[in-house]
Amino acid sequence: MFKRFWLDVILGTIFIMALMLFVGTVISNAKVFDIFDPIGDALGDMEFTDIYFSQILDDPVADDRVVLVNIGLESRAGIAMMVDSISQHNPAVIGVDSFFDFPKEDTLGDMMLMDALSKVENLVMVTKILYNPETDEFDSVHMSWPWFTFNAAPAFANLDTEADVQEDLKMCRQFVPQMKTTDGENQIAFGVSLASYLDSAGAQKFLDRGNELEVINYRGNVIDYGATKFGNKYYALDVSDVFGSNYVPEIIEGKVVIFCYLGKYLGDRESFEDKFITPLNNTYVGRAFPDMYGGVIHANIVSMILNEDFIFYLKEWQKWTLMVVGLFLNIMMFSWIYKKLPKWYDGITKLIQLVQFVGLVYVMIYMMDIYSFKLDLTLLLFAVAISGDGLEVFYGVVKNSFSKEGRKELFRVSKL
Amino acid sequence: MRKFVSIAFTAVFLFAVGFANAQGYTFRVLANKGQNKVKKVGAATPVALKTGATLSDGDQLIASQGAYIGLMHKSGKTLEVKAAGTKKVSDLAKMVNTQKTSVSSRYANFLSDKMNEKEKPNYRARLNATGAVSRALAGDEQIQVLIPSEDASIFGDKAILNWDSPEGMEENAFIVTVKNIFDEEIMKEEVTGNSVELDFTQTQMQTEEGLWIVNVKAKENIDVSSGDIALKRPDNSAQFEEGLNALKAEVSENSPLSKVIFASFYEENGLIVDALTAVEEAIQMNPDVDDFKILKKDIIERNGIKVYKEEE
Repeated sequence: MFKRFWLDVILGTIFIMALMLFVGTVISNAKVFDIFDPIGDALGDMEFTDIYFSQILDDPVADDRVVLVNIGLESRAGIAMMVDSISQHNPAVIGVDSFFDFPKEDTLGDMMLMDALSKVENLVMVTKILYNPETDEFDSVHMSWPWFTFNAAPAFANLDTEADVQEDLKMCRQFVPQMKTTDGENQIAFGVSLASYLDSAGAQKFLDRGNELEVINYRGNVIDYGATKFGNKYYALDVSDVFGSNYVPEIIEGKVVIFCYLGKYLGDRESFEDKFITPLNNTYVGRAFPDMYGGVIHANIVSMILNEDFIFYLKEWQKWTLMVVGLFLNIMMFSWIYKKLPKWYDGITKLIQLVQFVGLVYVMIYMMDIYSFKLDLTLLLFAVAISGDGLEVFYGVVKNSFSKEGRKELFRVSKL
Repeated sequence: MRKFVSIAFTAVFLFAVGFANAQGYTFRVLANKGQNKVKKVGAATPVALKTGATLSDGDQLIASQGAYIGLMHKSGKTLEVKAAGTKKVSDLAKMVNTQKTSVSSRYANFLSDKMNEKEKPNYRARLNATGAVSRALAGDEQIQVLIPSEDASIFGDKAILNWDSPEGMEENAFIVTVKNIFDEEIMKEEVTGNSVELDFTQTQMQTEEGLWIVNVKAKENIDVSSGDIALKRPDNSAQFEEGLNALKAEVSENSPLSKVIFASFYEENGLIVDALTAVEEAIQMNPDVDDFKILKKDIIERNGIKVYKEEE
C-alpha cells in the first residue's frame, strides 16, 4: 500500500510535467486558443518581479552622482557649446548617448563639436554592437564619425529588448555588461564604462560576476509625470538650463554626466524616440506607454554599479529543479487528500493552491526586497496552478484507463 | 591635564557638530522646470531657483504655473512639487517619509489597494480626453506671440512684441488690436512685419486696471490669429523699483550693452516681456550683432515660450 502510494505520486508528478510541457509547447505554439486568450496576451510580457518594481519597491534614495543633460533637438554646434559649458566644471566623466554618424553641411557645427569633444578629459561615446544573423555572431561595431570619437572611449549602448528596430515598443529589464566581438575584442556596456570612472574596482567586481545578462536594479526616472512611482531620482538639466547656467556648478564636479535625449524639452511626454518600457512602469500588465528614456536606463545601470545593488537570479536548471521539487511535494499532499478525504478534495486543494500562490508571490517579492534576489518561480507557479486539476485527471482518467475495473466501470450502465 | 584635554576635545567636538548642522540643508533641487523662485530666509526678494541649489528650513519655494520641481531631502528621499504657489520648505520637509516600511506591509497595502480599486463609475467621469488636437496657440496655422502664455507681466512703459507667422504664410501685414478689461478696443494698428511697439504712456492705453488684451490677426485672413493675450502690470511693482533704480544709477540706458544688462535684470525678476523688449531694443540698435539675437532666443527658450528647431 505504502509502495503504491509513492508510485502514484511519482507517476502523477511525471504526468503533470508532461501536461505542462504539452500546454507550454504544443498548445502554446499552435496558437489555437490565442484568439480566446486576451488575458494571456496581456500577461505575456509580464514578470512577477515587475509588480515589485512597479508597486511594492520602497521609495529609493536619489543618486546625486549622476547628472543627466538633455540635448533635446539641439544642433551639433549647440551640443558643442553645452559640452564646453559642462566640462569646465570638472565632471569625472562625460558620456554622450548619441550617434553623430556623418559630417553635416554645417561644417562649422561639426568643427565646434569635434573641438568640444576633444577637450573633454574623460569622454565615453556610445557604439552599437551589430549582430550578424547569418553567422550568429557580433561581428562589427557601429560608431560615430571618427572626427568625434578620437578622444573617446567607446562603449556599447545595446539593451536587451525584443525590439527588431529602434522605433519598436520595447521593454528593458536587463542588459549585457560585456561581450566579445569576432575580432576577440572585449566591448564594455556604456553604463559599466561610465561607472568605472568613479569606481573602477566596483565596475570590475560587477564584470567579474561573469553573467552574460544582468538584471537592472532600477532606482527611478527623471520628470515623468507619474509614468513611474519614482520620477525624480537624478539631477536633470535641460538645454536652457545649460545655456542659461541655471544650475549650481558643484553638482557637476566629480560626477558622471550623461548627455542624452530626454525629449524635446525636459518633461516632454509626447516624444517616444529612444523611450522604453521598464519594470518601474506604473502599469504592470498590458503596458503600452513607454516610461523611460534610454539615457536614464544607463543612469540606472551606473547607480546599480556604484551602489553595488546587483541583482542575483536563478539559472534555468535551478528554476526547473525548484519546480520539480515543489510539484512533487504538492502531488504528495494532494494524493493523500485524494485518498483519505475524497469528498473534500476539490475544495481543500483549491484553497491550498490559492494560499500557495499568494505565498510564493510574497516569497518572490521578499527575496527581491531583502536580498536583491530575483527568484523567478514562474514555472513553479504554473505547476501549482495545474497540479490540483491535473492530479484529478491522472487518477480519474489515466489511472482508471489502465485498470480493468476502471474501464469496466466507464461502460457500465447503472440506474440513477 | 587629562581632564583639560577631555573637556577641550568635547568642546571641539560639540563645536564641529554645531558647525556641521549650521552648514546643513533640508532639500537640494534635482530638477527645475518653469519660472520658479526661492525666497531665502532673511532675503527681501526671491531669486530664480537653480538646479542643484540647496534649500533650508526657513526658505520659501515659489512654484510657477505648470512648474515641476524635483527635490532631494537630506535623507536622500525625494519629493515632487507640481502645484503652483508658495510653499514653506519646513512644510515640504514634513511631507517626506524617511521611515522604511516593511515588505510585508507594502505587499499588504498593494493587495488592499487592488481590492479597493474603483473604476470610474460612469461615462461622465471618463470624458477627460478628446479625440482632437489643439491649435489655439503655437500651432502650425496660428500666430504665436513670443511672450509667456501665463503671467505675461509688463513693468516698463513700452513693450515690443514679436510673433511667429504660421509656416508657409507669405503675407506680411497684420492687424494688432488692444482692448481693455471691458472688451473695449483702445488701440488698433496695422503693421508690416512681425513686430509691434506698444506705448503704455499714450492716453488711450492708460487703464486703471493695468490689464491689456492684445490680439494679432493676419490682415488678409482674420482666421489666422494669435487669440487674446493678456498683458498686465505685476502685482507688486514696488518690489522691482529699488533694484531697477540702483541699476539705472550705474548703467546708462542708451547703449546696446546696457539694454542687455537690463534684460538680464528683468528676466531674473520674472519680467519676461520687459526682458524681451530690452533685447529687441539692443538688436534694433545693432542689428548686425548675432549675439543679441542668440540671447533673445535663449530667453524665449529658457522661459518655455518656444523651443527652436535646429535650423531656426
